[in-house]
Amino acid sequence: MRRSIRCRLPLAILVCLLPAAARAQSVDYSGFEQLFGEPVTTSATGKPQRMSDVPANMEIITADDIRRSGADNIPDILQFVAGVDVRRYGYAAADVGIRGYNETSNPRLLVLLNGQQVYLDDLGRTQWYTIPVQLAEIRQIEIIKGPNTALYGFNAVSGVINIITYDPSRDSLNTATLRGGTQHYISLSAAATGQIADVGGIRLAGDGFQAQEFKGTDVAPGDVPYRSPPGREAISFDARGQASSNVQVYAFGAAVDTRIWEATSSPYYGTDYERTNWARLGASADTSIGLLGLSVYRNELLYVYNGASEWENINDTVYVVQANDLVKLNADNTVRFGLDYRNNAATSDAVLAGKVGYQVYSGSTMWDWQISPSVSLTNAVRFDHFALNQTGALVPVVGYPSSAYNDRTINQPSFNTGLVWKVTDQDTLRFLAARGLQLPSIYDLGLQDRQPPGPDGQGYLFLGNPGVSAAIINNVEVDWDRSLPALQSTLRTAVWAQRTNEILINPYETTAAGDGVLMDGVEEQRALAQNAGYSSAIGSEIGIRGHDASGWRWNASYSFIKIWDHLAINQNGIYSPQNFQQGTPTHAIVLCGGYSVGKWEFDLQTRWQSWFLDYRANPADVTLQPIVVGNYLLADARAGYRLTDNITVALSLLQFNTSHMLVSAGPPIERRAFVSVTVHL
Amino acid sequence: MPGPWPIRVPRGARDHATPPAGRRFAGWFRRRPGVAALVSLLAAFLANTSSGAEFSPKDGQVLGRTLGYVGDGISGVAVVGIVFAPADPASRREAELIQAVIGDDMQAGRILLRSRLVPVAQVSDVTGVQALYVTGGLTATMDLVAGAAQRLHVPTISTDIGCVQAGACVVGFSSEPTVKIIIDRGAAERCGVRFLQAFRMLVREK
Repeated sequence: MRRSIRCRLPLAILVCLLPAAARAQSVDYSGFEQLFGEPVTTSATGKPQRMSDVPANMEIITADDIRRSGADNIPDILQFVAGVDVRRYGYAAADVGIRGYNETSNPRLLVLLNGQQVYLDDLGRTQWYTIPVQLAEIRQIEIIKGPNTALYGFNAVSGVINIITYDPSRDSLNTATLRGGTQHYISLSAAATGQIADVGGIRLAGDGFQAQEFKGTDVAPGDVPYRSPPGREAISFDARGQASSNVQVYAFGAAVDTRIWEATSSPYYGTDYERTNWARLGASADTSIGLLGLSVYRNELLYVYNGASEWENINDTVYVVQANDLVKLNADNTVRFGLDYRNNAATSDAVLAGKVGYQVYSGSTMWDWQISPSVSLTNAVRFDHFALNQTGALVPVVGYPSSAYNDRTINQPSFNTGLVWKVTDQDTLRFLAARGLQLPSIYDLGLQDRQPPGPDGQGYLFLGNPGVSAAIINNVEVDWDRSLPALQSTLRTAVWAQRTNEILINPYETTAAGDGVLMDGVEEQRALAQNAGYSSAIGSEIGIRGHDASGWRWNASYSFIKIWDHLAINQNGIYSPQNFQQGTPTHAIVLCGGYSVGKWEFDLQTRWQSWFLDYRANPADVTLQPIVVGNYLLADARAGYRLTDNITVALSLLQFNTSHMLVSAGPPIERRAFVSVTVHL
Repeated sequence: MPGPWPIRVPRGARDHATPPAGRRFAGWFRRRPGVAALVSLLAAFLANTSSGAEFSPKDGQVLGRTLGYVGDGISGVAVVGIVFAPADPASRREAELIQAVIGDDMQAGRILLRSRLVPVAQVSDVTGVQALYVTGGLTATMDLVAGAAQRLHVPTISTDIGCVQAGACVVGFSSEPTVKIIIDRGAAERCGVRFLQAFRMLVREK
């Protein structure tokens, strides 16, 4: 019955040398969820925890939620979560923010796939359609609201989204989905799993789609020639196995090609051509000295932007090594120690100061203390040492010397603390405080994009600033969760306050000023990355979620956010899209419901949110135009029918309540409808 | 149901058995017996607790799945010896009920759970079981059960949390209103039983 102790995979030779007293270990998400009747996560502290125990404000979207959403992409699923703001700028372009501060190419939200960063460091952004996963592979999407830098490091600022996929060594996923619908949309995705009992499994997956971009009636004429139809092709493998009874090893690899017409952070529209290559190797072991984890991964971005304002490219490669040990010292105390190393190197033919990169060395620790059966206190601290490096040609006259880059270091601590008090069997209170850090991006630090005189007759130098500091986010929060057995629901509330110091403005977002260099007889304008001041915010969320045995499910929430900016930009006109005070919707209401009867499933999801101000750049005259995105109501629906035990057909209607709707400064989003056929074996 | 256990309950375990809510207001409620009765009724309705409830299929699932995290993690058939006191009708009834709930086979995750009735007098000779379930009425003969568990290197388990709080069982659990599992580290060590660390992070230990 017990697994024999022997190495099964060549990859495991090294890890087989770990202490022989160790045992099998990895987190059995499926088994634990079925045992405890609620999702289990490691995303809050690095320790396996039941969702009701985590010292963080966390929402978990399950595979069932994903399927019944009817959506074919992650942002469309996230927009029905309390406190999450989704702005769609095109058919395959969306930016996601948590608790305000959303913008094009939002740098404040760290997104991970099974703990591997899928956030792109070049500009500091998440390109949702490059994430190497298809919806059917996702076990759960874990959404942590608020900073969590002490566990994840830089950029886990407004929150963290960790996408957890099925484990091919435990979950046999064999599925294919064909979708087709309006906007000439067609997609095909498939995943197949092979397993050897008690040894491991491998999943191979591939997907792709093509469609026609939204008509974009408000698109600037200068942008129109640069619109390309959106598309994606992706392949991946995920292999996990028992190297011995005490050691699990895993390997992941993926390649994704995307073509996405979208607004960049400028926000000029153009088409992003992105190739991303992802690779990861790791091992974890249950040993006499704790749960040991070792992970090495490499993310490569090959990016070309083609728009009316310019053409640019960047190749950015990130290597990350992570080692940690999680030890339950005694009945009441668990500690975790972590060491991280990150090496980032970016090159560009067009827009960087030669080769720009950095190394980050980090150490962290977490202490979880069960003070009493009903009270636990978790403290996590981390220290990051960042060292910038640069080689290659620098812009003369107004640029920085090499020493400005190569002597630049950032040393910053961060922390998360959370007290969880289970007041009764039904009531849980959480008191949370955190200090998070947002790292300047490669563009913030090393951009040198010199543009010749354009439509306004002026030349521009967009310049990264090696002297900019990390933005610092302090957050305090009180949460109250109440189980309502009589209503078969859970009520969740949160009140929070946040202040961001040293807000980072990238060179494309800031005010330009003459730098003394004449180009065609006109003084060149220089736009420099900077720390632009501070911003404060308060907010609250209240939501109820539940389901009953008769097949009904429901989810309702209200979110409130109020922001006060104190920024040294936009004082004398609009030069930057970073206007968080007016750029964040104050109110959002989500109402969702569903019903299952026999072979049918029906689901309806709605979101209403109040107005906000967004910005659009016009390449014809190099101006930034404020766009008021008015209050809007968005409604999605899905009807599914199980033809056989293995085949399901479904009709999805996205934004069915109106044919065109402005949800950002981008072109109006069109109503979508598609039919899907899913085969599960 | 089994218990009460005559052994002194450690302070931490006692806290677990008695939720802290209401402690502050106990005096206020004592002076208002009508309000206290009303609140108690309402709380009982809302809590929908299974205090005193009989062994349920959900208990069987918790039992079986918990066994899946013993040692290196096990899978396949796991036989639970249901130890009972034949002379105690309640103990016999409880054992027969558990056997009926588990039936011939109960699939609980990777575990195919099977049960076998074990009169306490025969527990010293039992073999081929992966756990010993402790019914009520065994307080006086718990040494026999513990001795068998130590010989077999298997956990003693009960739905009576008091058993583990008293240090008599390795695992105590309840499945309603939410799943609660408590492990006595000392008892586990005495039995030579260990659990996967990831599982230990998810349960209460004492």
